[in-house]
Amino acid sequence: MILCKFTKADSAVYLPHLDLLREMGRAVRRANLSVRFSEGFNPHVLLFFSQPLPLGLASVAEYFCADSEEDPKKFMDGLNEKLPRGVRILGAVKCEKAEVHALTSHAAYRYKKSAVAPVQAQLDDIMSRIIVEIPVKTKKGQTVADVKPRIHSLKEENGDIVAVLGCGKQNLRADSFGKFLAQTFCWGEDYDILKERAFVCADGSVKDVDAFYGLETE
Amino acid sequence: MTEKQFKKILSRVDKPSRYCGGELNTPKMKADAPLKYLLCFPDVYEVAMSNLGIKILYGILNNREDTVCETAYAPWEDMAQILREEDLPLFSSETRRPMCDFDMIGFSMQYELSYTTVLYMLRLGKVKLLAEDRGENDPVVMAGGPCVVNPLPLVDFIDLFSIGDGEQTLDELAALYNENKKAGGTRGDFLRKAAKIDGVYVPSVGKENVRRAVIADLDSAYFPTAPQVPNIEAVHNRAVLEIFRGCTRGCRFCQAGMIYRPVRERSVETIVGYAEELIDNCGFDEISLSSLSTCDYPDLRPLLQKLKPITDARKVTIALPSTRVDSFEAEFVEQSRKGSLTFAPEAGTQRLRDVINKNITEDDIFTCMRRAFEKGYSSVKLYFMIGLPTETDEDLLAIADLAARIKQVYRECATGKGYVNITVSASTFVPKPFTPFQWDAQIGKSEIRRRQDLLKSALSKIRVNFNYHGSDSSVLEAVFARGDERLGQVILKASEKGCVFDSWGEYFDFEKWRAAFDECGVKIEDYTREFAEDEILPWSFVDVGVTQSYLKEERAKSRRAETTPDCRGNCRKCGLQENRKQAFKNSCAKHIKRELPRKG
Repeated sequence: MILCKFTKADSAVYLPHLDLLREMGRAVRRANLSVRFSEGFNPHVLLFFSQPLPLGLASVAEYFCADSEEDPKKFMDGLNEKLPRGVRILGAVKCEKAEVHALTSHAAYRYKKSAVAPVQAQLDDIMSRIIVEIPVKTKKGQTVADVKPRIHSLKEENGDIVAVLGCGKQNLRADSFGKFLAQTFCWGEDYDILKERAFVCADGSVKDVDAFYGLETE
Repeated sequence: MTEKQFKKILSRVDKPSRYCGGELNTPKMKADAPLKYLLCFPDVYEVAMSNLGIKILYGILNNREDTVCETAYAPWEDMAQILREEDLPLFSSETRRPMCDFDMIGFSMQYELSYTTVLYMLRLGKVKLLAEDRGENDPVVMAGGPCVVNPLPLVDFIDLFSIGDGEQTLDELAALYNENKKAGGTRGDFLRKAAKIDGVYVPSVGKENVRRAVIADLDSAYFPTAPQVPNIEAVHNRAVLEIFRGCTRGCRFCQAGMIYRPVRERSVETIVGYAEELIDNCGFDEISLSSLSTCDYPDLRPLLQKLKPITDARKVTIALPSTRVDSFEAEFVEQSRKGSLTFAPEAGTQRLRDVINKNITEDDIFTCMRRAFEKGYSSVKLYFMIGLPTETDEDLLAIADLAARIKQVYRECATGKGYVNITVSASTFVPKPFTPFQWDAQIGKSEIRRRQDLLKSALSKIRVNFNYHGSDSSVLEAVFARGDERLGQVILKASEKGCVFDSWGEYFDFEKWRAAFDECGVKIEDYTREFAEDEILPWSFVDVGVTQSYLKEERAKSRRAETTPDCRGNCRKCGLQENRKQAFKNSCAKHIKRELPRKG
């Protein structure tokens, strides 16, 4: 099994999750890399992706596992020659099981708004509230939910806000939370969100996915 | 448009990947190329991206030093609404250049019901709709594709038509455009000179000697082995490899079978080479060996024998589209899933199949079914046409009878468990130019409905699924297929009333169309009626290669239920042997007296 870390930037931010999956499978075939296929009438390449990123969001910390015995470096270099604009493998490492998607518990997002610096005190104020209610989309439609338990931390960094939010079972959509931040700081609609890091919760502590798997990026 | 503006727009539309560009294999756009060409398809991204013609022309134009070719497809209504609100022009997906800033704009016309979408795109692109209003600084708007073998309904809007194979014509047009520009020639000069190129019809120059362009050799013709890979799932999500162009069968209702003559093949070596390149460059899990009748490829067996090991190693499946009932080579590749088999007998009785020259017998059908069922297939799709010339109720009821007997065959020889699932689909016959049935009437709307009902009730008694289309869209197809210049105003009026995406059921609004016809004083019945054989047909100024006398003779034979065998056996003198000598020599001459493909 190979764990790959990749970017979703440029026009690729508009690739829906399923199409990204398909595109990655095609890239594996284009690069002629050896990967295990599913059995059955319509064999497909065995790739395991982490949670979908909301459409339109950029990321430098996406992950997938490939059921392959190839050398991780060769796998990464081969794929990088055959990927569409905006998708780039940043690092690859061997791993035991395809479980990164199940273990990922948090992710860090950078909210950028040019020329407006947020104030740490205001962020601390949000963190000190007992409940933080924001409009969220659910299967039943738009509703208001208390997302406070899903906000891990909020920090000011070089004039941006870096938020660590829950993933998976405790998922908080970065774009929904962005709307809340934009409203709080009167940003309008003009701001950027970048997913920067992902974390796993293992042995009771939260670790960067890269550190947990020993994945190095170039 | 700034990057920020664009991002904001994309955040407001459904499926932003339709517009964001960045497809894999997009060539580098030459910013300083003197000819800027915009290739357009009047339908949404997912449909446009499945079209092979666009990919061929895109490759040819971008391979030229002096030309840059970009693409624009019909934006869905949500995007169009934003463009209108923000007063932004429709733009190319590669560099987001406004449509009106291109030197030439080319539309691919694959079906009649896309005509209003052309106007919708021109309007959004801020290009003047009427050819006569365009001047020196306006783009040259051109159209190609099978619909324009009868260009007349579109002459009001199009400056230049490319009729027939576009490979050479477009290359020559690009060269001419640049030459003319360099020499300081005007737009008018260009159009006048362009009219002399084979396959080009320029309405402002005149209707003389318009010949369909035919490339004499397909094996050496350009083929795009590194086409753009769509961002989102397209209608045809696979690599397409055209193994031959044209068809030798001569079905009398089929326009493609007449206007793509002669059959021109690619060699096994070329196809295998292209297949490998397509896998390396695109990575699709399926490759389609495309043509009008793939199982008629004379070297299909050797081809599949060479191709199969390559595709197997790369986990790619081979699809054989347009398989006929009497060819069952398909089993060679379809070792995988026993899905459903699709057959197109087109008519229920042998008499009617002879009328339309669909040279398959009931024996062929049942032999094929038996083999399919023995192999484990349990689902069959059957395609038929309603309203063919000389059709009677007996012919229609025979369709139900055929379905019933296929059920019986299943009971006798099925290896699979359970019931057989039979679906009958019936489209409505549309008389098309340059076919032996070009003079025939289309049955009226109430008659279409009556015949559909008759078949529906017969099929429901034996519990066979039945699919059919509304009659209105078939009527419009017939009108535009056999239309003349008078239809331009109707298309314009309908477009003003909001008609667009007419091939999409949810958008098609016949009431608007009816009103447009009424307001223009144009009668639908004038175009669906029977045309007299001695009347001058609107499209007769186009020479597609097949002669009108051959078509007349074929029509006469059809009324006697006399068939014309496949032209691989012997030349049937359709006109190509005289009118397109080089292509004939390269292709047809090779096949005469050659063994016919083995019957299933």
